[in-house]
Amino acid sequence: MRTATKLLVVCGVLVLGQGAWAAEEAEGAGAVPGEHHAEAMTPQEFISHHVADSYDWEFEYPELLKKVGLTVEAPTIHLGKLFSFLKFESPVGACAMPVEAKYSQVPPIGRLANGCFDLRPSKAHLMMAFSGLLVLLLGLSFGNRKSSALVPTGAGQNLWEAFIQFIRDEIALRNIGPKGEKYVPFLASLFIFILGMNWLGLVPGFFSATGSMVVTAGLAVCVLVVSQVAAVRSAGILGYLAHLTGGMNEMVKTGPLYLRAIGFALMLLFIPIEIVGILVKPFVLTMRLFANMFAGHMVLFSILALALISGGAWYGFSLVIGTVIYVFETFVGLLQAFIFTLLSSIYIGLAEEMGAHGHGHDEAAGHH
Amino acid sequence: MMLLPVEVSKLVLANGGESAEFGVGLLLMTIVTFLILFGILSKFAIGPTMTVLKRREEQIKEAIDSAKRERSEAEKLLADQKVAISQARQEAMEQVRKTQADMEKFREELMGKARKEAEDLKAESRQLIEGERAKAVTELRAEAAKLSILVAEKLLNEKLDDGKHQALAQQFVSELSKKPTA
Repeated sequence: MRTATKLLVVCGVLVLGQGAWAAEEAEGAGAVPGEHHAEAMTPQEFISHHVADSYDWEFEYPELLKKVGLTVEAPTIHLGKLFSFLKFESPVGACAMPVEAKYSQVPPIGRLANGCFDLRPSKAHLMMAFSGLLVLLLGLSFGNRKSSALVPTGAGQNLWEAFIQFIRDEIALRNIGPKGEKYVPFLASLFIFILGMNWLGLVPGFFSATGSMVVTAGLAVCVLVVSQVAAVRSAGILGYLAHLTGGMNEMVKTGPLYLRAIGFALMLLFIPIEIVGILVKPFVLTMRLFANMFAGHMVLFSILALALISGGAWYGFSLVIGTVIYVFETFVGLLQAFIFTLLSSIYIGLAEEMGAHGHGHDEAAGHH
Repeated sequence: MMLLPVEVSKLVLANGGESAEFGVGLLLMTIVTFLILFGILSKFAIGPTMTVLKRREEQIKEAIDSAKRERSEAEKLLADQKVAISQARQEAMEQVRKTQADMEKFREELMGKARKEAEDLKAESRQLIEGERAKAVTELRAEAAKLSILVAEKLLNEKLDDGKHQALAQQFVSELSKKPTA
């Protein structure tokens, strides 16, 4: 109970801090739009500045310092300039060119068409690396035990052990079955990495890497590869391909000619459906995690932007509601990490099942 | 206006900035970062923990099993011992009873023997006494006959027919011997 109270206080301080400077910044930015043109921000810009990935990592406290008389430049790490050698553009300035209407809904392709191939690390890279290091630190300090040290010592080891056991018993073994044991490292890494990224974004000045669709897509690609490899290994390459035809490969082989023709037609129908079925899973994973994190931060900063728009009494309102949303976001960060891992385990379980108990076509095509 | 990343990206690009959204490098870096993290964690943090978990589970299971086994063994042992103790007690009682019976028998035997010996001795003595007495009586009779003959010879001083007198004397003596016994 006392720990919970402490945690709540820490959260409150964090969010008040964040809210305070966000509001300060918003005030400073919005107060005299004409004068400080370079710093002026519309609410939209304010929000997008905080929820969107960027090549600059800016520490946003200078407005508060200005209040106490310290006038300093906003300390910013210009990742884009630092790694400018990783930017490849054929006409110079192609990466800053607006995307043409044809590609307006798919900016990456539009930018490629403009002649921009950008490999520079962004804020999301940095946050990902930070959370990766943090997770690594936690894991290595609490999980790296001698196999003879059967009794955990300290809260860290106990928590780590409980976490691994939870992943093993409640996620891997429950959804994948007895074969799930070997996927525990993958699922646990996935869970803790996502959780680290989700929660890092709640620390003032930091950014949720999972709020970038590309990051969640990268994770989903890992899940896709693991589940498809599991499917091929359990059903065999022939069984896997047979599964792709929706079982119509059997129908094409035997029977009267007209039935074979129908089978073939159905096969043509089923193959794209099965492929879409495979691809839709990582897509769902990508979108769910990204949308939750992105939307959470969007809501948080929209509430804080109220101070920018209205000021005065709204300042306090945005702080209070912001705190509530902040705490809620902490929960959502944990929940989404869990859901991502859970769904991954279910997909892997489905893949493992492909070879285990056949639908007829699997058994027929697979190696007996 | 929707502030989806697509819109944000367009907004930034429209303002002449460089959008970091949808970076190709980020996708690759995510995968690489995750793979490195997965590799290190699974080898140094998750693997060891899983080993420990498994080992401990096995140990607990083993401990419970062995405790059960030992308990059943102990119970069996206890039952065996109870049986052994009761057997020993029974045997001891049997032994005591047997010993008592033996003692009794031995005593009886001894007593019987002693009694018999005493009896024998008595009978023998009696026999001896009887024999001695009979002998003495016979001798006495013979002596008396001789004496009576001598007395008769002296008294009568008369020579008698040996056979006739012998018979008479015999008759006399036998009458004489009958008198005290009768």
